[in-house]
Amino acid sequence: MAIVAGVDIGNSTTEVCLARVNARGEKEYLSSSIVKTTGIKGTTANLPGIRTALDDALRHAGVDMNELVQIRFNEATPVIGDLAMETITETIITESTMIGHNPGTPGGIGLGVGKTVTFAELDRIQSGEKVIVVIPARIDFEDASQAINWAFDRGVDVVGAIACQDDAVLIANRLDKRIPIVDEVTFIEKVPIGMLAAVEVTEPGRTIQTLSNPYGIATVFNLTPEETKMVVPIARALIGNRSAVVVRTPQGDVKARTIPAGVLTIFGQRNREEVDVESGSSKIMQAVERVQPVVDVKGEPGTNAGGMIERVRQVMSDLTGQSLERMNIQDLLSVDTFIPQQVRGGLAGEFALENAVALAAMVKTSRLPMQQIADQLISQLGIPVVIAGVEANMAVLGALTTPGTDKPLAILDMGGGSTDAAIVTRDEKVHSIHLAGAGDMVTMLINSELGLNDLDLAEDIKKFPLAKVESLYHVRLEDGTVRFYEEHLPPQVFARVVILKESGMVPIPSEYSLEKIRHVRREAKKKVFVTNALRALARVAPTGNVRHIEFVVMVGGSALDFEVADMVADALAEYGIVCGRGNIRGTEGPRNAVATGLVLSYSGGGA
Amino acid sequence: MLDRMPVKPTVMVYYHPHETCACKLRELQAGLEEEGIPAVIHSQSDPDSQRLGYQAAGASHLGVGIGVGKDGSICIHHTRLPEERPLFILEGPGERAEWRRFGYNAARLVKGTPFKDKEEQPFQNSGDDMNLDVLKATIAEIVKRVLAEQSSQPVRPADEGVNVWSRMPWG
Repeated sequence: MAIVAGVDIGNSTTEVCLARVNARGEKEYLSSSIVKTTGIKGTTANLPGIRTALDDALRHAGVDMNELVQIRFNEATPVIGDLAMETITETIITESTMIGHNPGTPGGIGLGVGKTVTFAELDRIQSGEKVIVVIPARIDFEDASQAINWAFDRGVDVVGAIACQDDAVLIANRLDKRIPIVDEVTFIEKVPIGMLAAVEVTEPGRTIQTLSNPYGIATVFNLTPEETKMVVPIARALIGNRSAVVVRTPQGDVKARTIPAGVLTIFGQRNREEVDVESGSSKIMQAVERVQPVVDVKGEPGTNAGGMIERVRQVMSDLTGQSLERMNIQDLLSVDTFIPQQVRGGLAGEFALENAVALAAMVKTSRLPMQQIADQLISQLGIPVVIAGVEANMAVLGALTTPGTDKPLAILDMGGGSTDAAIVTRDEKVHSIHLAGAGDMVTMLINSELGLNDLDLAEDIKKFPLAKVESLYHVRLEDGTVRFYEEHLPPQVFARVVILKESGMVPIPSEYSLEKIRHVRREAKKKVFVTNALRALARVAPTGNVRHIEFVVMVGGSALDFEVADMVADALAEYGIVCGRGNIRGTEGPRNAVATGLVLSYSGGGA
Repeated sequence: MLDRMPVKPTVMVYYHPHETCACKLRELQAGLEEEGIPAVIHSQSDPDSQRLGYQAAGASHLGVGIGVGKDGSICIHHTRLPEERPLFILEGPGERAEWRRFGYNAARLVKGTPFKDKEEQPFQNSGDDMNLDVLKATIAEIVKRVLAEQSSQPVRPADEGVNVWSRMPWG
């Protein structure tokens, strides 16, 4: 009787499978454990994590460390991935010309066009003039409305107002005439005075029609065709708002600048392809497919593409301690995305959606120093440690313990840093590949598309379903069902979109609706995992045709996700493939495949 | 049934008359009006803001009530909450921006939109008609709050267990 431990050090988790092997080579599984990987995969910094994982597994099994006859490591695949994202457009307002924010409660209704005047000079304005009054902070709503009413009486045509405080409705309710008022303009002192401006407010539930239309802006300001072209970004940024202000300043100018994104050169074994990043991710991916297998990718120096690729190589060179020249990019996944970015020069913190390209790159490094880790563990524990086999082979062995599977079988290992696939044929031959882009890229896409600037929150949005708090006592889940609570919910989550974690509700601090957040989350997962699943399987399929694979077992951390596995299974269903989440040893779910494979490959003795 | 009077749904505000209550009621009403929710104000003899708020919530067809107590405290209550657990309570006199915020938030409770936070609204006092006592009380309140913040330790539930997703490469 011998007790062995299989240890799988992954990018994110370290997993252990503990089993007792009898003289006939039959295995009895004792326990498994999973802990966070300490340090970068394949470095001696992993040791503390390995120790914890071993201790956990031993404790669960009630086995002492001395009883272990062997610890088996996998020959970790020497690939690591990195991510980059670059905006390829940018909106700049020189000399602030628009206020495109969406206060909750603007006042009045209509469109007013006139010259901007300060509140203080309102009583010096001649009768008959069309003006828009700019009300700074510290002016009480009663004083503001009284002053405007007096101006009305003197024959001044006040056609609109811009206010700093949240009291547009209060002012509008006290006026003799109905004029549009936009409030909560934070940088009120930056509104140019003495300039022609337009204020538009619509009824609740509607969106502005004039200022979100380039020809509408051209009409109110008498613009030439050339000038009309310039206001397109303003109009675009205002679409969907209930209220807006546009100020025309002589030199004012909003530019939608296209940043030279640059050219990527993708080197294959025989040929190479050049593709402009601006042409979008589908063109980039087509180029990647044409040159298969990719041996390296370079970006045009001095452009964003060049900088992006160089950064990826630099990061990976630092991580692995290998020279920059040897960092050859072996795969690229590119995804079109957009980033809400604060408009430079905006007055109320406006955002414009900028186009961006997100890239995940995969670098093959030389062999990871697994032997060093093994040697150190031997000296620490005094137990033989063996590097037992190639990761993909072990994963296949483990995956085959899923009930209902048979060879030929393909596994799809969806992790954090990479999507890997391996196939085992009837004659036991294993072929594997590694692709760039997995869970981390989904997190990055969610983070940037929702403008969260908080990767932990993005991670939570990725992992947990959403709900909308509808009253103090109930929430509506994203599938429409309602859950009631005995105790009233905290005010911080009231009326907000929340993430339902096991530990409680986390409010999402943004204005986005539940549907929007859900859409972004699901699209990000599809863009990465469905794309990569098809890419990966096509590459390992014996004929290059996905249809010739019968069984696909999904394993790895991202297979645990509450919707990724279903999305991939859905996409593969049309190819007539049996595809599902693995259930290692019939008990472990999609986890522990490699560790289990390591134990299975143990045949007794010291080897 | 036919004799039932059609009652306009409003937020009820019950207050115990005191020195600065006119100013508070004005800001509360302004907050409610800005959010577009009607309110009705009644003077009461009960001095306790929490009880007043609860009674007001019970009387309101919208189920939302505001109580302004003798000590100047303000309380937003909902009819379905237990009386001793109001939704928001402003202990002590507070300041204009806070009174206004209570108005906004009572309205938002009715509308089902997220509440306004303290930081969200950079609101300046008009200052001129604020009497010295209110100012003193405000300062005292701030000092008290700072002291309370210093003494209380930030409690954050530790996120134990394994993150099944990988770490981001940049930490």
